[in-house]
Amino acid sequence: MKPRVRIKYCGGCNPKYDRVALVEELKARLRGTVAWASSDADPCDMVVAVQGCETACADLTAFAAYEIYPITCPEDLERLIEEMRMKG
Amino acid sequence: MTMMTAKEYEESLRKLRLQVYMFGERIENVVDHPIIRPSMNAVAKTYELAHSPEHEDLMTAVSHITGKKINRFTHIHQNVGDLVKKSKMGRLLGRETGCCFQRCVGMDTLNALSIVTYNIDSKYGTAYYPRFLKYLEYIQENDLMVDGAMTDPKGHRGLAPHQQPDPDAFLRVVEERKDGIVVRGAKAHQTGAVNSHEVVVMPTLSMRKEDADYAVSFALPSDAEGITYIMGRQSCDTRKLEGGTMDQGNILFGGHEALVVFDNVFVPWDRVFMFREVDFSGQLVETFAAYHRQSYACKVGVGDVLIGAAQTIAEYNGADKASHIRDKIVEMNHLNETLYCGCIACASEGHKEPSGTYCVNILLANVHKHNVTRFPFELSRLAQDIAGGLMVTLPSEKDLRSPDTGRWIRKYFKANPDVPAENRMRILRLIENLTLGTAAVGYLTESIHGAGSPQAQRIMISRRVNLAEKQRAAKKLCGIED
Repeated sequence: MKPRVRIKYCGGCNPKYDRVALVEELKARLRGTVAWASSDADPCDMVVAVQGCETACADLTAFAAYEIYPITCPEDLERLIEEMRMKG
Repeated sequence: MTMMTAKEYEESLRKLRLQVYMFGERIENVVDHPIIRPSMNAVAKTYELAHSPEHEDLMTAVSHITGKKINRFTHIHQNVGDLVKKSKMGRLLGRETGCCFQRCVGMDTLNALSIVTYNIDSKYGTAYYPRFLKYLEYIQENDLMVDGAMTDPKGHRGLAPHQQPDPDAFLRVVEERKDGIVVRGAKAHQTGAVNSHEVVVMPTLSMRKEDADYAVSFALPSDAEGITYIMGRQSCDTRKLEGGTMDQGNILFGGHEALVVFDNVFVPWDRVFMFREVDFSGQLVETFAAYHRQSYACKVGVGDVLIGAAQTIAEYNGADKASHIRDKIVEMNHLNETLYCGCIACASEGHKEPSGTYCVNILLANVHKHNVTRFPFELSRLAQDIAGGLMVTLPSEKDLRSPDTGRWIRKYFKANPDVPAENRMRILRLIENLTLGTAAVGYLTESIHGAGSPQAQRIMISRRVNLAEKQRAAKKLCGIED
């Protein structure tokens, strides 16, 4: 059973990198390793919090029960992929 | 429904029967009029981004009335976090549209009324607050765009409303009926008026008992019988009629203002939120103004666009490595981020009012807006300095497309060999738009006068600042004992 991952973005008031492009890369590189939860109602096992900067202000209160993997800069991507692959 | 899409918003506007005039003629199709449509596009962005996963964290909230997910523009701030998100949302939308997106005024009106109607009820035993909550639920459930209408034409500035030679210089109650009231007057400078589903009227200043007929707040559908909209002109507005894709600078978005005339308009009692409670008119003005002065967070987003344009033209001109250009870009960022500090600070230092609504720190909101009356002008000066004089001497897009003149323009207006002349022209037109074209209405003059002119902020700063504490500290340090 592949782990189901939910993407949760911050609001993007002044992001320091292209958050959407980074998520597309993440999804491409983890294709076949994890499944993606597409909405709030979709059950998930873990959450990737895509924060546009180190302030990391995305509201994660709805995901308190889940394992949360934060991204605050593009450099976080490799670490995240490695951890996800270990989970998968 | 709860949250409309951008398309649903546009379609909802088509159902309105607004009486709109521009250039002396009635506008039958408001939504598709080329001068008005960019402003509709800007409001539509507030609907579009609420459905975008990468922006919903700012653009949506949970209603404290229904528990449903709603567009933040219809939300009543429930904590400091809501206030901070409002400032961030303003920057986001200012940057994505490069103009005034018009919807903040309605949000600020709703929040101010959520505080003041409660306070009126507490003093007089009236029932405005539950009435207001019912109206708010209607706004939230239908995700409506609200025009918050405060500024009266005001007539002679030295005279109170009841002293004016023309008593309609301030909007007033002209008849009280069993089922409601009849109002007459006008509201000037109404941003986004013809893109709105609802108009909520508030008094424009603190009233005395002789001005009781002017101390009135109410809501109406924007197409209520007796309401007429007369569109304001903007510098370079008719460029939008030329059919090109360059000379208007911002080819997607814009703003608009209108004079809204209320000619004996009937308002049912269930839409009246203040009626002759003169002692609360000032509180409503100050509360709305504080929220709206915070809303000038949007200018930080527009400043982001201007800085991006200035850096781009510097690169296109081949001047980006010059030390003075780099320093000017740093200065622009310094000014813009200083503005950001103000809108975040007044939100972070917010407080809870008796109704439960969170309000910004009023002193800091006024300081923020006072900075906004100045810094965009310096940002604009620096952008024009970096851009060069070509920004205002550039031939038209038609000349660029002409087989007779286009080759000369492409030859002589090319600077950086890697950049087509057309791209250089486009970024210059955007800077022109922001600093002296249609968008300068919002970025410059509105920055001075919108949400109150500079002197209004200075009065509030003098009232709110803790001068006695500063004196105590100073005297203690130098040994003065009073």
